[in-house]
Amino acid sequence: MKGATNSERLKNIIKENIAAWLFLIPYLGFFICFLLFPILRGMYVSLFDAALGRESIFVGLENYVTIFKDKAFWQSLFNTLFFVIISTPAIVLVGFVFAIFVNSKLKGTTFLRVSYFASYVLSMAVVTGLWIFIYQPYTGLLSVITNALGLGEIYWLNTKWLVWFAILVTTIWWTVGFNMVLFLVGLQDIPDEIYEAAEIDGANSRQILFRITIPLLRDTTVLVILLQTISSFKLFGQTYLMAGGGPGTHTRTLVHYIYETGFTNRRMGLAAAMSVAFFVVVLLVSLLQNKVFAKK
Amino acid sequence: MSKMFKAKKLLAVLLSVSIFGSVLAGCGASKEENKSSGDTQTPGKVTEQPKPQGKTKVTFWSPFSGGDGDIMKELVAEFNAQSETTEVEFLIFKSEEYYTKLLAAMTTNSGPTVAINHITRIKEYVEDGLLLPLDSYAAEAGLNWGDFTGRLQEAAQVDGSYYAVPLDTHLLLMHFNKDLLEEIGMLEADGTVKIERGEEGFFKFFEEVKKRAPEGVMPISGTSQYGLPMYLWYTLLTQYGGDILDETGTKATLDTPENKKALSIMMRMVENDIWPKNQKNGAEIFTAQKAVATINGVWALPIFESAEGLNFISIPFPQFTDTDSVYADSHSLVFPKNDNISDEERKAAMEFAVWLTNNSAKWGKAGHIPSKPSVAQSDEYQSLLYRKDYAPSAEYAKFYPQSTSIAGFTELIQRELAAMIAGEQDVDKTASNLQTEFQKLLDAKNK
Amino acid sequence: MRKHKKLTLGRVILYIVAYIFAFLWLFPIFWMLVSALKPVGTPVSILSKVFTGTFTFRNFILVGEKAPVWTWSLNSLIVSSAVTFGTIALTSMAAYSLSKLNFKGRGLTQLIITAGMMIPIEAIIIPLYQTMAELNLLNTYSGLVFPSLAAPIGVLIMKRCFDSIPDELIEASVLDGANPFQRWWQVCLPLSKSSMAAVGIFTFKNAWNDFLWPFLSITSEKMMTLPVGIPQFQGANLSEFVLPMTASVIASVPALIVFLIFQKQIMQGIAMTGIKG
Repeated sequence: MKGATNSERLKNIIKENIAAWLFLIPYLGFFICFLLFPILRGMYVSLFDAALGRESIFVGLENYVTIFKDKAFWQSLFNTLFFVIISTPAIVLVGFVFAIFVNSKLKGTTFLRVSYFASYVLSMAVVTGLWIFIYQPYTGLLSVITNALGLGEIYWLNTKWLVWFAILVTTIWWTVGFNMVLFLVGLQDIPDEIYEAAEIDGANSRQILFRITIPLLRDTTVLVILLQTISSFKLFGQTYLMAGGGPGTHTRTLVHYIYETGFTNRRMGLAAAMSVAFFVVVLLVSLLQNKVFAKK
Repeated sequence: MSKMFKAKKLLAVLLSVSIFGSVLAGCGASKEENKSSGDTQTPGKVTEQPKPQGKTKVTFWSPFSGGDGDIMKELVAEFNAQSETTEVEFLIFKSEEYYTKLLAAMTTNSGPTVAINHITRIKEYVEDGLLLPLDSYAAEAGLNWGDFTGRLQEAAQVDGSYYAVPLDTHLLLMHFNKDLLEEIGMLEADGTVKIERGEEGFFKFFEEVKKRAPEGVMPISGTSQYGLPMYLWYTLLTQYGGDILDETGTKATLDTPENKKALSIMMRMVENDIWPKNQKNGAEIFTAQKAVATINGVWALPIFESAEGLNFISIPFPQFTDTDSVYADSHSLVFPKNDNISDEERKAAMEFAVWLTNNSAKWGKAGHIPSKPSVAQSDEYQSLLYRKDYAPSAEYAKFYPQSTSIAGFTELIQRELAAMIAGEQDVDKTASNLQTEFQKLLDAKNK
Repeated sequence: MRKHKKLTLGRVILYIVAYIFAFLWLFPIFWMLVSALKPVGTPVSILSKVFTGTFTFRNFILVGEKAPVWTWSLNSLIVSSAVTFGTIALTSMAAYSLSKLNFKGRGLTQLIITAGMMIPIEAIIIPLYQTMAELNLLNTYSGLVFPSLAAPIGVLIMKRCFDSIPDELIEASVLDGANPFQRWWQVCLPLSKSSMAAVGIFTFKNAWNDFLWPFLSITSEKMMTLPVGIPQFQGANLSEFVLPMTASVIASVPALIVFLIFQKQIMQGIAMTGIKG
């Protein structure tokens, strides 16, 4: 500001700091009490041999040693990473494509928008129930089609690797609406004037898409990828309810294993240690993504 | 600027609703403080509760859904109507997470006065001091443990004390489509089903069914994952004299000839297309009349009864050896630990429990077998279709042995069986996996 | 203003592909809705039996008769609305701070907030439960609302939105003497309607469908929300499917309606013209 003295500048900085915290504190209050504190409390449990309803015994880092040596832990971690890798590009891409469809000023845009998003509002129980019906042999929707085509029965949810494909399709169907909406919001930030100018300059649709739209969606895309990655890491419901984590433990994800260890087998200390490991992995991946996508 | 005005309006609405919302929340909080016992209490805090209408309030939790839930609601209403001193509030919680909720509540003194608990799972709660012994309450209420079946009496005790009041025995059966059987000429003249005892008798019957069944109809339907394969497996295992652990309760006994026999019989059914694999909706296939027979428990009866056009018969599960045995469990009533519940409320809960066990003929409508043979003999129960035919199998009902690792074992066996049926692993591998993994669970608990 | 563009081959293909996907996406929901209208006991996986034969609205009445579904729905509505409005208010404030104000610890705060999403709910649920038990908030509306207000996702979405507001606009208002609050209220918020609608829709849907926490917290019939009560209609042994379908429809429709009401807001663009500059 012209003519501001040093002390005025300091006063402004302090004012800004205070304002910043005032705006932040309401949300932060809830965050600290109801998210951060339980997280820290949970992490603390990882140092104990603990079970709900029993005395906890301090064991230090023993739980971490145990999970490090546990084959099942590594397998579930691998399963989870596998899904993150196959699902993140897929769901981000489909979300983007649908957003483009909706943004393309086609007739019936509202119908399209509602169709793609409606699945997102359904609950986990409803979605898995619907898709079990679609995949189930002998009487399922796909079974009718494959039998009509002479392919007989395909055991979508009971065959290794095929089951991952089935879970992926279900997940895309269910959650793509979220990514689509984020992309749509991002698309709204691109003013019509830019498109009009490009058209006047003679650019065709493909050029507009790749030279204007996609670059301008950068921030949104980075956010979508980050959120999708985290969401894919947390995969549990679909594999648990539709495939029982199977066949065998083929689709048992890390969250599933954490749940089984902590709730079914009541080893909360171990489960807490695995949660900490989960957190570390996700954090590392996110930081890595941050670096890769950092603005130059 | 109209945009600014709209934004102002929007935010004003947001703020007022937030305020309204928190006022409501506050109301909710104080409303709960005045609620009757068994609800939000901090550990150690005991509150004086006024008695509504002079009756003692009892809270009762269960995982019953569908038809089970409906019938229990009726029973509770009946009890409340006839009791002058006690009022029961009945709550149904999702069965898959029911035990997690019960456990969490028990650890924070926010559990119910009485709760349903499968009798095979009480040991681990008893070991952790989470269930109250019932002997004194039962004696006061005049409950005679000898009135229950022998198997139930055994299962209800841990270390000589009773911890559960059994409500029923529910076990595995086999159900047949009478019309289809008749169509292929395999229904007996008197309308019953006759399968020769023994492995060969069983397969002879069903190979014939497979041969004669119409196109698109399978011999046996049955969901190939979750509980059903487990019920079938345990039935076979115990018929062949096996079990999941030894008498000490510390050694898994799953890498045994008995287990491999049970597993191979299951695979013989699957591989010969008698029980086609990877089914997700066995019961529905049966009600759609796409299966001649189905493996399912007593609990399926109400569903089959309400299926339009389905003419069926239910029989005790076939026996493969000279040893009678069938997988069973029992819904029982337990008293979860809660320092905030008074003695008076406990006595009222026991009054309710005793009444339930004496009036469980109606519970039989859900298919379950009353826990007291005297009730099973009653006209009310005997008049229900097929119940009197399979009720006697409660005498040889086989529950899981008492162990603190049953919950984990259930998860394990269901997973292994599903994988085996899907063709992902053979009988030997399944048996050895079961042995290793279950032993790990047992060792962890016995550290 | 909607300009329908010229119909080229590319555009025709676009139409076809978009609509094929739309129908694919809708079919399972359509099947669910139709199944709910069938008599109880109908095998819903046999398509021929679902789309032909008798239809009835009886199931909805049946569900209402069997359980206090309206109480559940009202509770769900109260909780979800409180969470939604609360979240929009709280996160738009917090995100403004993280995006447009400079303060010490900004980067760290943002990292911590984002990190809050990196733990699965199953891992925190028991510590949360214990905390809430100690605060005496079990089985209360506050207890159902407060944890959801801590969700970081709204902050991230609003922050991206505020980040995209050009600093020149803010500086312009500073020149006019606007204090931080006015900058937020008068400049940033009006330009973030789209994102606020998105946050509102996501938050409402998450709150509406939230199962695990309400399930553990609620101990009386009066407080039950829809996701906690609805499983009563789903036989654990999955023998009957029509009533569960009905229950699913009842549980899903309100969230769908909220989406239908607010989805147009997502399409609000920023009109660059007309802003003082």
